[in-house]
Amino acid sequence: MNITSLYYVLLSVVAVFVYYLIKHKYRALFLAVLSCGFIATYSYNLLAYVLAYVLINYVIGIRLPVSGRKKALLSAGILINLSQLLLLKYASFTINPLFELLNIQADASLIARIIIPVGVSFFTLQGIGYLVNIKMGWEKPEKNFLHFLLYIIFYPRFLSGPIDRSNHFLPQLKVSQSFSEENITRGFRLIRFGLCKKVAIADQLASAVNGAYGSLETGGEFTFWIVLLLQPLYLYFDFSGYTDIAFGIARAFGLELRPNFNRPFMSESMTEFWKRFHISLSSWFHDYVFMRTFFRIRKWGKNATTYALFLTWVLFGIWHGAGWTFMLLGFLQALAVYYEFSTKRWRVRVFAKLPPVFRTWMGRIFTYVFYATSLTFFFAPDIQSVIGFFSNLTVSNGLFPGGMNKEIFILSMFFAFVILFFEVLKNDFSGLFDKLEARWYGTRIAPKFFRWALYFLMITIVIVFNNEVQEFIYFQF
Amino acid sequence: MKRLALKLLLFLLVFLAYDKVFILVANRSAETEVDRRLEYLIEGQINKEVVIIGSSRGSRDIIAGQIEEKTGMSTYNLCYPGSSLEFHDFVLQTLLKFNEAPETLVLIVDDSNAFMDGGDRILFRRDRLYPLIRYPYIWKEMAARGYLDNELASIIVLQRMNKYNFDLRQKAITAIDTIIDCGSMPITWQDKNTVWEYSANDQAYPRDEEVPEKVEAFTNMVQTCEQEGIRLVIAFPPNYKKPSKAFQNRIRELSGTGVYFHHYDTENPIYRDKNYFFDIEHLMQPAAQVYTDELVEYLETF
Repeated sequence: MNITSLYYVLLSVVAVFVYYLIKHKYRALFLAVLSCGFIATYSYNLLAYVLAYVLINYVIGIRLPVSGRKKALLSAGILINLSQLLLLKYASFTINPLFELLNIQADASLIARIIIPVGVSFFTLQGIGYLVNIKMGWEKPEKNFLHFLLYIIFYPRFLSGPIDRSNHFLPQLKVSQSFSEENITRGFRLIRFGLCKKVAIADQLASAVNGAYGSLETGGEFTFWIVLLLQPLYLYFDFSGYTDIAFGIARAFGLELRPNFNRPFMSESMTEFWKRFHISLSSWFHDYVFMRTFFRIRKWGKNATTYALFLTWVLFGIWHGAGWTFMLLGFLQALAVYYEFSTKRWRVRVFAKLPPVFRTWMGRIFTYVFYATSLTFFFAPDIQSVIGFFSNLTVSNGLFPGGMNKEIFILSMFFAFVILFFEVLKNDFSGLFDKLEARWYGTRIAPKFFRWALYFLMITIVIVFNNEVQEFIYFQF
Repeated sequence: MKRLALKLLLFLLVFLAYDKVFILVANRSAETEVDRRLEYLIEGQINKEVVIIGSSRGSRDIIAGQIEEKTGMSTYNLCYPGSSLEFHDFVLQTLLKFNEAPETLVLIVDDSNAFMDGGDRILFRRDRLYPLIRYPYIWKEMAARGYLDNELASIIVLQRMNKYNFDLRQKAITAIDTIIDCGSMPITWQDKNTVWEYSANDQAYPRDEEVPEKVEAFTNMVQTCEQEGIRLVIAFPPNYKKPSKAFQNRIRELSGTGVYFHHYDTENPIYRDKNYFFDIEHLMQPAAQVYTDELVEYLETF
C-alpha cells in the first residue's frame, strides 16, 4: 500500500477512531492486526517471514535473563538477526560471490525475491537493540507477545523507521491512552505536512536528481552542480516527509516515536549534522556499535576512538546497501567527523575571532556542501557513476534541471524555502517563532479561516501531485 | 470524540464542495491544448475513410492531407509521438466507440522495438489524457488502466487531475509539435544532436525481451479490425538503417491472414541520404511527402 495514497490516510483516520472506541486491552491486538494487514499488502510471504522473525526474537528475549549462557545466547540472537539481513539484503554482494568461489550452483538472492524484504534493515536493528538491552539489563524482556510484535511491525514506521527502542516504545503500550483531541489534530496536521513535503517537494526534485544520474554519459539537459546542491533537499524532504506521516499516525494513536530529524541544515558541523539527521539510525549506531566497540578496546587510548569511529561509520554506510558506494559514503562521514574531532581545539581558537553570525553560517554552508557532495555516493549506482557525476560538474545547461517543468521547479523550491525559512526562524529566533505559532493557532476566526484555507490548499497539492508519486527513497533499505 | 468526528465530517463536506470548483479548471484545461485530436475523437468528429495510427514515425512521416488530396478519400492522422502500442490500441478503441469505423486503418509500426519496453521514450501518453479528464470516458479509462483510483476519482474531482491541468495558459505550437489540420506533424528541420551512422547490418530480434502487454495490444488491434471489417494496412516506414527482417517477420506472424503490409521503397536513394532525415528514425517534410506518395500508390491498389 502506498503510504501517500488517500486510502492509507483515510484508513488511518478511521483506525484512530476505532482504536479509541475499543477497550485498552484489545488495542494492541487491533494495531497488530492492522499492521499485519498493511504488511500483507506487500507480500504474504513477507508477513509470514516477519511473524517468524518476531517469534524467534521474542523467545530469545524471554530466555536471555534466565539462561546460564547469556553471552552465547545473545551472540546467537545477533547472529540470527545479521544472517537474515545478509541473506535478504546483501546476498548478491556477499553470499553469491562465495557460492561462485566454492563452485556452488545457487542464487541466494532468490529468497529475497520470494519474500520481498521490505523494512528488513529497520526491524533488524530494532530486534538487535532489544536483545542487547535485555542482556545488559537495561530492560526486562517483554512477556506480552502482541506488544513485542507491535514493537517490530507497528505499521506507520514499518517501512522506513524511525528505528525505535524497545524501552521507549513498549512502556507506552502498557498505558491506557485516553482520547485526546489535541493529539489527534496534531497527528493529522503532521500527516498533512509530511504528505506535502513528499509530493510537492521531494517528488518534484526526484526527476532532477534521478534524471541527472540517468544522463551521465550525454550530460542531458542538466547543470550538475545544481543537482549536487539539490540532493540533500531531495533526501531530506522525502525522508522527513515519510517520518512526519509516521509520527502523525502514531501521535493520533497516542504513541510517540523516536525523533528522526531536528532541523539538520542548521548544523554547523558534520558531527552536529548526524545528531540532527536520521537521528534514530545514527544514535542506534552510536549506542550499539560505537559505544560497545569503544568500550571493548578502550585500552587502546586515542586509537580506540579512531577505530570505533571508522568502523561505526563504514557499517553505517553498508547498512544502506551492498556496494562500494555506500561503504565510501560511510567512510566519508567518518573522515569528516574524525577531522572535526581532531582539529576541534585549533578551529575553535581560529574561528573565535570571526563574527558569530558569519561563523554560524559558514559552518552551515560548509556542512551542507560537504553532505551534498558525499550524497553522490548515496544516489550513484556504482563508483563509475560517481566519477561520471563529478566529471560532469562543469556541464551547465541553465538554472532549471532537465526533465523538470520550470514552473513546477520554482514552485517546489518555493515550498522548500518556506519550510527552511521557518526552520531557521525556529532555530535562531525561537521566541519570535513561538509567538507566530501561538498567533497562527489562536482561536480568532481569521486565523481559523486561513488555517482551513491552507489545509485545503495542502490537500489539493497532495492529491494533484500524488498522481505521479515516487517511491520513498528509504523504502529500499 | 463526537465533537472531533463532527468537526472532521464538516471539514470533509466543505472539502467536497470546494473540490467541485475544480470542474471549472478541468473544463478549461482541455481548451488550452493545441493538439485536440483526442477530444475530436470523443466528440465523434473523426469520421474518415482512412485513419493513420502510430507513434512519431506516423505523425512525422505521413501527411494525411496529401493522401486525401491524391486519393480523394477523407484521411486523418491520429499518430502520437512517443506513444506505445497500448496507446495506439486505446486510440483505435476510442475511434470506434465514438465515430464511424474507417474503411482503412494504416498502422505505422516502429522498427524492431515496437514490442520492447520503451522506457521514458515510448509511453501510454497519459499526458495527452489529463487535459481531457472532464470526459468520464477518459478518467474511467485511466482508472481501468490503473493510473487513477476509480472509486476515489468518481467522488473527488481533484483525484482525476494532474499538476499540468493547472497550467491554464493557452498552449502554442512548438518546433517539435507542428500539428496541421489533417493531424500530421511534419518536421522541416534537422536534429543537431543526431549521430549519423547508417547501420547496414542485419539486426537480431530478441523475442524474449518482448513485453506481453504490447504484443497483446497489437493482436487486439488486428482482431478489432477483423471484427469491424476494417482493412488493416501495416506500414513499415523508412529509418536511417537497414530494416529488420526478423522484426517484420514477427509482425507478419502475429498479424495472421487478412492484413495488408506496405514497405517503403528500399531502392529509393533518399532514404539513405541523411539530409532527408530529422534524425535516424524520422523523415523531414520533403522525404515525408515522397513516402506518403508511396503509401498513396499502395492505397490506390484497393
